[in-house]
Amino acid sequence: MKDTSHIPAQISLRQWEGRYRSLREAGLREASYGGPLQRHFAAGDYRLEQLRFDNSAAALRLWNFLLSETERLFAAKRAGKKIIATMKDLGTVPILAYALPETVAFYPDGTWWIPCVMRQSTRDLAIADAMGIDETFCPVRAMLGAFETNQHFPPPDLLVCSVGATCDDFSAIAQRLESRRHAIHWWEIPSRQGAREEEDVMFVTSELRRIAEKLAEVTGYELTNERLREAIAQANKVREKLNQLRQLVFTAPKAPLPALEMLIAEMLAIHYCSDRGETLAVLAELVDEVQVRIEMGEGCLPADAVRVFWVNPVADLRVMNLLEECGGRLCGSDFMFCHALDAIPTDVLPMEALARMALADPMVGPAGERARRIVRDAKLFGAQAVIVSRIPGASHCATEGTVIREVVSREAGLSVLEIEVPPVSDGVRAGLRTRLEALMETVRRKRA
Amino acid sequence: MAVGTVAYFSPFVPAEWIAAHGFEPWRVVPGGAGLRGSQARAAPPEHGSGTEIVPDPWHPAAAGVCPFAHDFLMEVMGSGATAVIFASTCDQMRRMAEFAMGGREGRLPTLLMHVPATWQTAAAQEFYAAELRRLSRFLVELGGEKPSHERLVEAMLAYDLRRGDLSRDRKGATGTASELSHGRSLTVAAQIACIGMRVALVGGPLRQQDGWILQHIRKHGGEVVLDASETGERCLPAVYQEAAVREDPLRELVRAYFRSIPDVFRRPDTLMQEYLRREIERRRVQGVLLIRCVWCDLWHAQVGRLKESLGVPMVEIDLGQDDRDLQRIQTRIDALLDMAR
Ligand code: SF4
Ligand code: SF4
Repeated sequence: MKDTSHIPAQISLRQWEGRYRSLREAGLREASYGGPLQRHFAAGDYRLEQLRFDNSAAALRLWNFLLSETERLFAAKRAGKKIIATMKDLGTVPILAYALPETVAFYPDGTWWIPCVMRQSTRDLAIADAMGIDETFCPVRAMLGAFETNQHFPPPDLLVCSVGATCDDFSAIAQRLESRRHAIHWWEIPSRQGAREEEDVMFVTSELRRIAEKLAEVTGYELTNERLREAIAQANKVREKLNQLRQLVFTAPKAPLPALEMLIAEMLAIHYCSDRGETLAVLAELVDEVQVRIEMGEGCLPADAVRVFWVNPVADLRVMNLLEECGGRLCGSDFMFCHALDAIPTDVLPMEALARMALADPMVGPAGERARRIVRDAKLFGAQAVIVSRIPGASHCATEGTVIREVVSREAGLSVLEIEVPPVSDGVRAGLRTRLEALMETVRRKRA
Repeated sequence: MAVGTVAYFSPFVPAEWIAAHGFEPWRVVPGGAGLRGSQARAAPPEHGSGTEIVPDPWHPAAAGVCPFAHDFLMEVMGSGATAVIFASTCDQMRRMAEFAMGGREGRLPTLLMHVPATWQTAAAQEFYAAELRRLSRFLVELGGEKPSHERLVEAMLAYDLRRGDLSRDRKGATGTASELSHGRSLTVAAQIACIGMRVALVGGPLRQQDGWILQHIRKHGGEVVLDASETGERCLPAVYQEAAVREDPLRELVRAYFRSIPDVFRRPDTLMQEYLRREIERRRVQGVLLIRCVWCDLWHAQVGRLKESLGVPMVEIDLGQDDRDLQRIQTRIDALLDMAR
């Protein structure tokens, strides 16, 4: 029988058992956190059973890296490292934390996906409910449960949370967390307005200095310019690698990597999944795999798949699979942290560079500016449609879709579909499928 | 004669700062009669007769939009005001400002003032002062005049006096004092002597059409002894120190507003928690009616917290975009009065 194992494909968790065995037999060498994906399912990540994964060794490493973060955080705590919980700002404070020796940063916001990944088998949401934070809030409310149970991460040595121009959900939930005796170091990001640009940069620079002082107090290490420059250089390496991956995947004639793996890969850039060095290695392996696939003219989806630009992360990862089942492929994304993909300037003082980056967050400025970046990137990657994925309960989702739709239709002439994705979307899957298929059909008709 | 009318709602926008620039400050509490004045509703509206949402070119009142923020936008855009000031004290208002600035159907000169959520640092206080200076430049561009030191002092002391007079009229007996800071009385007359169940209103803003809630409380044996809603006395600035006003009026504005108003968006929210604990005890409150707009996360998240910490019976009501839930709200108020008895 012909060996097709090298051909890119999306396979189920069950199929990964056989695939894993054959990779091992072929001499697969894995990182310390490697192993069969099935073990994560056994540990409670039940949603994995419904997902379809890329069949490459690079994707296996990506998933294992993502799903082993909890173990890594507990190991770091046992080893005496300082654990910094950085909340809400996406991508800035971890750079400060990783500049210091013996320090690990993570985002409790990541518990956003726990209700999905663990198929609501944990108590996290019930605990949030009991605190009065019900399903009218964004799924990030699962964070409240995670802090009570200490199952997903160890008790942090410091909690840092950005406020100001943020969603109301997070500000409210973090305040509720503080009321449960979790002291928070608050820092401010003002709403971005062109007229005030330089004042804002100076202000945010001073806010970041306050964080640096707090970090020095907690870790015993001073955050010098040298340390920060090195941390920025490392962050830029990760961003460069990720951008290379995005460019390759979004512009290839056939999609060389599925949407789900791209979403996971992008998330690594904001907090390194608690291991900065390994993040770079994981991304590098993905880039190598994608390059080989492109050279061989292979992809995991048909060449005529509709090229879709995706806005906002999905609360249910399974919907990224659904996009492809309906005939789409990912060609561009704004998962709410595109500022964390841009290279950090190295020609200004490092703290100022980070302040500029924090202020470039699409969520702290007008939705119209965010929409214009979407237009720019959608054109760059040749997207044929835009999907705005609403996050249930999220304060920004009430209005931003309207703005994005208007700007994208006017300035790029693309069809825009707005959908809402709950943490477990099985109940609305048929409806979502119908709407996605209708969008693909519209684009195909336009194309013909 | 005022140069024009400047609309705003946030308690962090000082009316006297606007007035000192030659404009009439208009604190818009939606549901009123526009620029002509306010209209409180004295009785529960009939089912289905709620405020009509103005046909809305910017947003179809979709699920997820705070009705207060939405109605504020609608009322201001159709009002003929010279300009509007939004404060970024919540995500909903911040995003409404974008519609005001860039609406397809025309726009109103709009300033989005960033009021820092953090308040304990000198940098945050200076940021607020800088925003007041930016507001000043905005008003000058609209034809206002940058106030001299004397003029600003005069405006501040006049507003302070007016607020003081209104407070004295209430004879320290509290009652609902919405709009005191801005010289317009929104809701009901002061309660001079309290004979009923002592109720505190805590939470977000009341719209004009929500005034019936106060009447309902009274009719059923309650008395509002503390209005800690966003349209109430909680959001008044601190009393000015005259010497400080004369010496450095801007600094005193910052102290009285930014450093003193205990609001829900501030991080940490200790000012508000301390204020509520203190006033509830001082006024011997027997029950708290927590009012919040649907989709207001900031107040919604306080419900569980305040239930744990206030030590008096509490009932929450969520105010929506129409009157469908009136019966439910009335039942909840009655339940609070029963609990407090
Ligand atoms: S509301 Fe949006 S920005 Fe806020 S935590 Fe949820 S997903 Fe993130
Ligand atoms: S009620 Fe809440 S959401 Fe609405 S404007 Fe006020 S703080 Fe914002």
